[in-house]
Amino acid sequence: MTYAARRLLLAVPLLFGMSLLIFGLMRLVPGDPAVVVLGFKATPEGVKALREAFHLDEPVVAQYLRWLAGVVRGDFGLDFRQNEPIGRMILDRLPVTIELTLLASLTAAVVGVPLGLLGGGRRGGAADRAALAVGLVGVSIPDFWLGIMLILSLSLWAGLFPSAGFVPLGEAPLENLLSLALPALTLAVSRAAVLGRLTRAAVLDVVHRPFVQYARAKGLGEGAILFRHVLPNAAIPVVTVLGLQIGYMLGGAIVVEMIFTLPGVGRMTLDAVLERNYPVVQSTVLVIGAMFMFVNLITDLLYGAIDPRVRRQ
Amino acid sequence: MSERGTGLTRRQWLVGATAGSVMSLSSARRPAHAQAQPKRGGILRVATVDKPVNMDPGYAQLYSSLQVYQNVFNKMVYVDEAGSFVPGLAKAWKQETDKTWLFDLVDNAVFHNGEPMTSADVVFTFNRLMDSKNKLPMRVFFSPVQGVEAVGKYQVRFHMDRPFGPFLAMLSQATEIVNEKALKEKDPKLFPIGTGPYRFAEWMKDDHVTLERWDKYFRPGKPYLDKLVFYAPADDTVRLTGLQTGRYHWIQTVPPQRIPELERARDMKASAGKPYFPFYLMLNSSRAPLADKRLRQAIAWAIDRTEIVKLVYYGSHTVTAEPAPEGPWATGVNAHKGGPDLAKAKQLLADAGMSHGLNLTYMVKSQVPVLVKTGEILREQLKRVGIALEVQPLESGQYFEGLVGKKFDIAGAWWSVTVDPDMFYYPMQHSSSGWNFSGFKSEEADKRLDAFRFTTSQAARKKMYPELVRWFQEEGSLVIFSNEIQRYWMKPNVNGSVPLPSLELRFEDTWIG
Repeated sequence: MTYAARRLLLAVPLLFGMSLLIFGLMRLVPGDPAVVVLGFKATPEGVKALREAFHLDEPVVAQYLRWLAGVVRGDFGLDFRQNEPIGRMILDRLPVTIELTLLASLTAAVVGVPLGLLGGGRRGGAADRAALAVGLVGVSIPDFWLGIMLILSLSLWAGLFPSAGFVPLGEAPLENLLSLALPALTLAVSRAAVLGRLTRAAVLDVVHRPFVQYARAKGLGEGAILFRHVLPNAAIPVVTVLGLQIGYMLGGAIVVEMIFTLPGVGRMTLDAVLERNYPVVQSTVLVIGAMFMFVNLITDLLYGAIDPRVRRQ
Repeated sequence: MSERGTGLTRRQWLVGATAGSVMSLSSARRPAHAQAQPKRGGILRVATVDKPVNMDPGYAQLYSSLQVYQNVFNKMVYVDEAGSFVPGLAKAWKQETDKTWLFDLVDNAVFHNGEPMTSADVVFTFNRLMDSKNKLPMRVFFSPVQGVEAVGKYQVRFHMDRPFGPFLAMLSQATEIVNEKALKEKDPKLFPIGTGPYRFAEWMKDDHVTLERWDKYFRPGKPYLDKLVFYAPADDTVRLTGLQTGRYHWIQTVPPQRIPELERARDMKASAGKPYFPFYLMLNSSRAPLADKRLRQAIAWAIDRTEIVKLVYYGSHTVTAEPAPEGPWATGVNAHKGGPDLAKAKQLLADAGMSHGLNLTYMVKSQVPVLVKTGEILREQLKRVGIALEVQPLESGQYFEGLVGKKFDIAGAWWSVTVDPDMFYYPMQHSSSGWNFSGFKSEEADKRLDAFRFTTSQAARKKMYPELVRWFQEEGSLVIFSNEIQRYWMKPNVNGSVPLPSLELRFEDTWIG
């Protein structure tokens, strides 16, 4: 059995465990979904009727099995508030989150990796100090503050980007990019800083190895040494962190989605948690978990592509 | 009462958007009423506080849904800025007897599915509402309605089992007329079909709802706008920035502390402001210690309303002790006039045997920062008379559970609906009401509330109302301390948008200059 197939099979018990965990955790959170949905209209009769409608009057095990049976059949059920199929709700919002994640990750990699290479390749030099300072600032800036500052500067003052909202890619590609530019930049800055610092450390680890000194002795230029010899050898920790970052962002960049009013998975999950919308939280977390595992699998497979020694193992 | 506030989340029926204003109507700097000739065309992008969740008016679950679909449907009766009832789908009406009302309907209204609107639709709407099997939440507001009869194709008669004082007010608030065929054609929760000025076009969940002008609208020449797009950014600052950058043309709330600066801004204007949101404290009368009226009165005498409004609401609220401090139901009554009176408060505490001190809790939704801050100010104010107040900000699920289970001493809340104050007092203070969260039960209260509700002479009701207000102020189970001023902000070329006592966002008369 191939490595990938084994990893995929391993995902089944992991997802099962996750489903149990999230189901249990949601039941431990105080607050009755029927009361929350009814809000100020929560009369005892109304609460009772709604609890019956949501099957919340059944034993917890029966509730879990009912939900799990639906999930296995590909039916995540209906959400408590709108009676809408949850599968459709997730599918509607996933493209926004995926696109935001990809744009932010791409930006972070394009900025962060060269920054780290520059610093690590010339340790102690002006470029290194500048890269370190930029990285430190990037890591220190909270997303919510940066998002608001970007809105105020690039949207309100410069008028270059919309301040909020989302335009689907299929509807107007340019407007779509513009609508995601600031959110992606907000997410990318701290991630680029992390990648930059990590790349620098990895480069420093490699740059004094004998094969690098040999390459230098051969007369190779510094650029060729960095990109052809140092970077591939320093790439594994960088790819690992990039993979983790992508996984986290797929779970929904909640703060950024809130600030820029993006209809993504993060906002939906947060609303669902606040509303005690059990099936939405359970299903969304399960889907996010599956995606996280998938991204990790891809990351692991990339190790082999990057480093032949891993492939041989 | 509902979830709401600055940076708030969900809101329910009867609850409007936040707003804020330092000014009263008379002092609003640049009122939205324009004298120029209305122009047709254009797209108005509107930013409200929260997203809609359900477009079926039968459920009217959240104000955030209601403010969108109110433009898709029509009611029989509306209320204007002055609080007077004006025609909707009913062009005229008369009260035939104490228990019957006759309505003449317009004969040119057409549903967005092409069906002409007739009396059958009105009968269907109310039968649907009143049928207990449908479990529609608005049913409770029409409990005295026995039935609706189609007298002719465009005439209906309502039969009540008792004289029903706030009947027109209820009609102006709670019943959009629906079409049976339309409900069967498409899921009404997702695809609203009414006779309103705009027809539903698109709903991109968590992002926007688009409405388009209905060319067969029964009022000739209306509406003016080609399209109306509703967005719901959750944050005040995001909404305001959107207005400044031109992404939105009309927004519902701005951060209260920025109002003075925004009033001077050239790139926006504000509508007139009206105090339509009573903010109040619920004092749990169903259990000790606040079951003792003297302790409730002590609190009412100890609080300094002016200080709360100044420190928490930056003047975006008006100081008041009654639900409707402006308009036809304003009374000016304040049983605690001259307060705070700390000596009187201390005396009441001593009379109740609490001169050694009293420990109370203040329950509030953590998502409503202004009410949390209100609690902090209250804590300092009550400390002056020996009451130790513990502020308990709770997440909304716990807050509602606390309310329903009456597990609190004091809870911060707000309500709206000032078209008729029956809609404030009856649900919250009548012993039979599920909304009576303060647990106040009194035969005298029920008698007074029933008299106010089941009297059809508006003159008689207005005569008895000031005494009703005073009586509840003295009982002290609800302590109203302020009233938020509803105000909208828009681009200078947007005209015809004013706050209404019904809190509807009616964009039928709105136009872009």
